[in-house]
Amino acid sequence: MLDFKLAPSQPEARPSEEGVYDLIILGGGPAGLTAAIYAGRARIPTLVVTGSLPGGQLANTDRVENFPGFPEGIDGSDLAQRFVAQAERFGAQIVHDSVTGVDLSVQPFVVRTYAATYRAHTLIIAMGAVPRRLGVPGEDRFFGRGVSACATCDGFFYRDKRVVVVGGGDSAIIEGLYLTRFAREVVVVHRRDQLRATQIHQERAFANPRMRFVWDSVVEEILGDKTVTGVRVRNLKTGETSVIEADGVFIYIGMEPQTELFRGQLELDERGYIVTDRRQRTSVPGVYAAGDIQDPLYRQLVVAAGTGAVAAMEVEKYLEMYPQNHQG
Amino acid sequence: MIGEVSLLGMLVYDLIIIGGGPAGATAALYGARTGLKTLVIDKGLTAGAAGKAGQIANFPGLGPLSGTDLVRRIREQAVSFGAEFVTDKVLRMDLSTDPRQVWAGQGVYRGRAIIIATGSMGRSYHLPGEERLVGRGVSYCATCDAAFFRGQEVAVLGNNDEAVEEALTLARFAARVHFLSPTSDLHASPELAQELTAHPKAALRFSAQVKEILGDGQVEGLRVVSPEGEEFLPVAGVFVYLQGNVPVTDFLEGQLPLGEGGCLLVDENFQTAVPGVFAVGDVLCRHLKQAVVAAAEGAVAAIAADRYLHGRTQLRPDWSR
Repeated sequence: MLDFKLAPSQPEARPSEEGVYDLIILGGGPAGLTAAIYAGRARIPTLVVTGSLPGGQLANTDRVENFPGFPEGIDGSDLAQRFVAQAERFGAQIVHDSVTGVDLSVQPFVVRTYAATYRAHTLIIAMGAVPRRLGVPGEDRFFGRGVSACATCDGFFYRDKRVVVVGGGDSAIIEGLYLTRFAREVVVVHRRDQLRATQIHQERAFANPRMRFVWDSVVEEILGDKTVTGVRVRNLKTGETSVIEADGVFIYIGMEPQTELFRGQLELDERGYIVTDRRQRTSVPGVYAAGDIQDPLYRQLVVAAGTGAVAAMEVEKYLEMYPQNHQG
Repeated sequence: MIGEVSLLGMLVYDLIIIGGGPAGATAALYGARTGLKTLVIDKGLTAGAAGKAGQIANFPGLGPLSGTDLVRRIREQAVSFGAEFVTDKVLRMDLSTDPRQVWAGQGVYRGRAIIIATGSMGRSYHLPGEERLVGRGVSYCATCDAAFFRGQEVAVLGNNDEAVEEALTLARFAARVHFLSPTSDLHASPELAQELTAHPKAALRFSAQVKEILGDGQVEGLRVVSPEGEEFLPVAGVFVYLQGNVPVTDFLEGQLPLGEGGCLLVDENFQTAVPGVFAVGDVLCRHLKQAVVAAAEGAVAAIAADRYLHGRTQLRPDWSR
């Protein structure tokens, strides 16, 4: 393990041309902040532009049980603060601002925010993905506290309870089936009269005694006072509304990786995620991506952190290999 | 010994993880929390690289802490979700059966999916005489072979938890256990070190380098160089727990393709060439040897193992149509 020692023969912090960073990290969630910790440890002059929500999705998460190293669990906002403090301790400069544009066709790369324009020799893009929301009353208030978009993260909290899953695609059905391991009943609310999910998953879902389906219906409101108590649904064919009692609501109507700014500049997959290789490299040399913005499959806090660490170590190698890229 | 069905052999785990460092313990945390019946087989808290690391400062969210503390915390978390840990040493595996079978010192374990997280502190060399005398006094498993040395003098080579625990096992049978640490101190937990130091049958030696294992058809003794000079130490058995820096894959006996230097090759979900068998952490080729990276891989492999076991396949559109 190299964790415990500094990289050999550390160069002093590189003198950089005014306003040009060796590394700018876009995004202040677990991936971006872990990248900042690693970059700081390697003494790479680093700027983190956090975006509108420092801590990312973590800041909106009530309780984290599955981040390794916290046997008692930890509040999402507390963990986010620990990440920030650790990154700052290692020398990262953190600004609370949002990126409005980038130019990846010039070296150094250009990053524009509301407040300033920055330039950098390398970038790590870690702006995350946001679960598509229903946009109904109660959703924002209970998000992370009864409303979730991650069964792997939160399914455990619903042992012997009833949950509602919104959606009819593969994610909704696969994660709904997963939730039947914990919940006594999983009610799938879908706006059509049949599922979009692949056949084998549909068959499993229909065969599962804990799954129930409410067809042709949309959720109009998430109900509850201090905790979620149910949802009000409207049948699109009859117009009738009814209430389904539930302790939790899982929304699977898609994720949106925050990649609009990069369209046309970086290779994206058909769903809009940044395409990376195992070393977190994107289609543009010197530009790396980490966390959920390049991960449609796993979307786990520790996985995001791991990719952030890899990206920062790759940046370190890149800067050493191409010294002409930074004004030394 | 293989013909016996141990009590352990009756159980079938959903997931067996070999190695309980940051990668293996995080895989256990994820596996158990997902509801998989999960077993971790590990050689001891200080048997791996993280357990030996002095201070880890860059594991996100945790301030500087010792590698042992980090691993202990992750294990505690995994146990809180129902993962089981057993201190044992895997000798060989059969990956072709269902469930797959894992032979270890204390019995046979059976698991439907396997995650290999054994790290890279394996040995790349043998001592002169070692290979020739394997099974003839040279052993790597006191639990398996201690009873053969009842009333005799034996040596243990090593300095970590595993070596100390094995020495304590041997001390129940042998007349005397010479514990030869290659370093000037022990890299074991204080409680274990204390137990060994106080044991009337144990003789501790530090900075002791074994140059050769001697014997004609059977181990007769060791040539030892120590600060006191060179000497011949007569023993009937020698138990070797020395560590090096190569991936620990010897127990696979060629069942998985290996990269250069014996490292394991995996796909993007950390699955090996055998479906349902995954590998994570420093045992992988070109690994970055960072705890958080290993932990991330453990999480991914556990989720992938769950998908393998439950047909919760990846979200690839329309594959079945």
